[in-house]
Amino acid sequence: MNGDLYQVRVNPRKTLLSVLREDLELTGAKMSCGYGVCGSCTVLLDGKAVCSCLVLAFQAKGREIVTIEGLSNGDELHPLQESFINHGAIQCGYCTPGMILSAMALLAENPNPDEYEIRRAIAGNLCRCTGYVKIVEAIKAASEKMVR
Amino acid sequence: MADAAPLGYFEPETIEEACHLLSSHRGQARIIAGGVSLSVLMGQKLMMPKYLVSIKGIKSLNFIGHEPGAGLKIGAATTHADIEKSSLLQEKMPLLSQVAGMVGSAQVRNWGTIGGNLCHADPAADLPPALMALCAQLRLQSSAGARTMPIDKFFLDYFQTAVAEEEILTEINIPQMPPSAGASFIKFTPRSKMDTAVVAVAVYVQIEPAAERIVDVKIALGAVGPTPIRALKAEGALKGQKIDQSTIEQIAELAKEECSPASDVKASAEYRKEMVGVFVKRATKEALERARANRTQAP
Repeated sequence: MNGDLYQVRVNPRKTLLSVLREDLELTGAKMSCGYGVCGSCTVLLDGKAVCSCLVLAFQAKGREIVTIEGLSNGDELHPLQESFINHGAIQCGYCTPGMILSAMALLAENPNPDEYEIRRAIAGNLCRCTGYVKIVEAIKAASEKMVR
Repeated sequence: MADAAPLGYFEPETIEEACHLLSSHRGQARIIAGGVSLSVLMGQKLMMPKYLVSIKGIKSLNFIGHEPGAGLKIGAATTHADIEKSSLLQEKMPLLSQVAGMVGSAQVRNWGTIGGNLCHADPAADLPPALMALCAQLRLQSSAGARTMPIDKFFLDYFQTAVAEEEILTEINIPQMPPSAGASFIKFTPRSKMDTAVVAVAVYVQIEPAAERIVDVKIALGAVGPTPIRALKAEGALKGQKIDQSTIEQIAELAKEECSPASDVKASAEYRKEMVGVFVKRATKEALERARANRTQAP
């Protein structure tokens, strides 16, 4: 996960989300709906966005996991993180980690998405604060920066 | 949701191993692929298995293939995302790719599987009516043997299927579409772009292009009853008919009578019935357009 190998002993009932938050104290992924509709628990599993509240921890064994904590490089923010800040795409911040990771998965597959493709990719990440406009702008701007 | 009762899990590498595990833990074990639906049921304590048999790692359940003349074969543990993005399906059965792309969100599509979706049997799910209109056959395997079932017989009631306790759904087979055939699927989600269907309509038609006559038709409706249903009376009225507006209006009315939707927070039963009429018309027209466009294609 995030470039490092972790060995964790867990109760098979535990979801990946609860292992991240409780066993590994990585609280970037959030618990909100608990049944895979809000996306606040989104992490990347083998490069694909998934709801970690739906993934049982043992299923993540041997797979590559990326959480929000893995994006910055020391003090250097990932272009998506910077873009979200610069475009006012963060209000309460609760949806933000999941939003950024969904965007990251999109840009890895489609480096130059149009607005529709961006909105479709984040359709599984709900935001109660922003109304999504600034989030879409931030992702578009980041995509342009990342291609360069 | 942590629970005091211990949960055992197995990660078999073959279908046979998985079947054996189901038989030897009679009634206490459940199959898990992604677990998108199962996790929710377990969290709500609607299902409390003692053992989980994970089939995620079984390679022979995760594939998309085409057999010339026969049709398409999809492993039950194939994710919706893989079905959506499959260039083979986009070429041979684009409707299926399109429908798989409508399931949930990107996160759900990346982890959930076609087999899991079918076995969960949510009456408002998207793939079931589409697969019904395409006359899919389902392959079920257990330690006692294997059987094939037409999808029409698969859904018994809310969240209940014909899968026996020790059986695993292994494969979904979709026959190749003949020439001059087309299909359409409409998922009606009035509340927002991403939602469970309030009404889902799938229509398949095969026409006789010269006579502009309908040779075969299948109409499947989702989210308007305890299971997805075929509108058999509407199909019967349409088969053999010439294609014209009044015929389409007539079958839309028949389809409305054949469904028994419930009212819920998303829509009333009356509204759902009304919308069945609207979308059967639209889907039939779209399927006919595609059937006409297909006339030059060989199977």
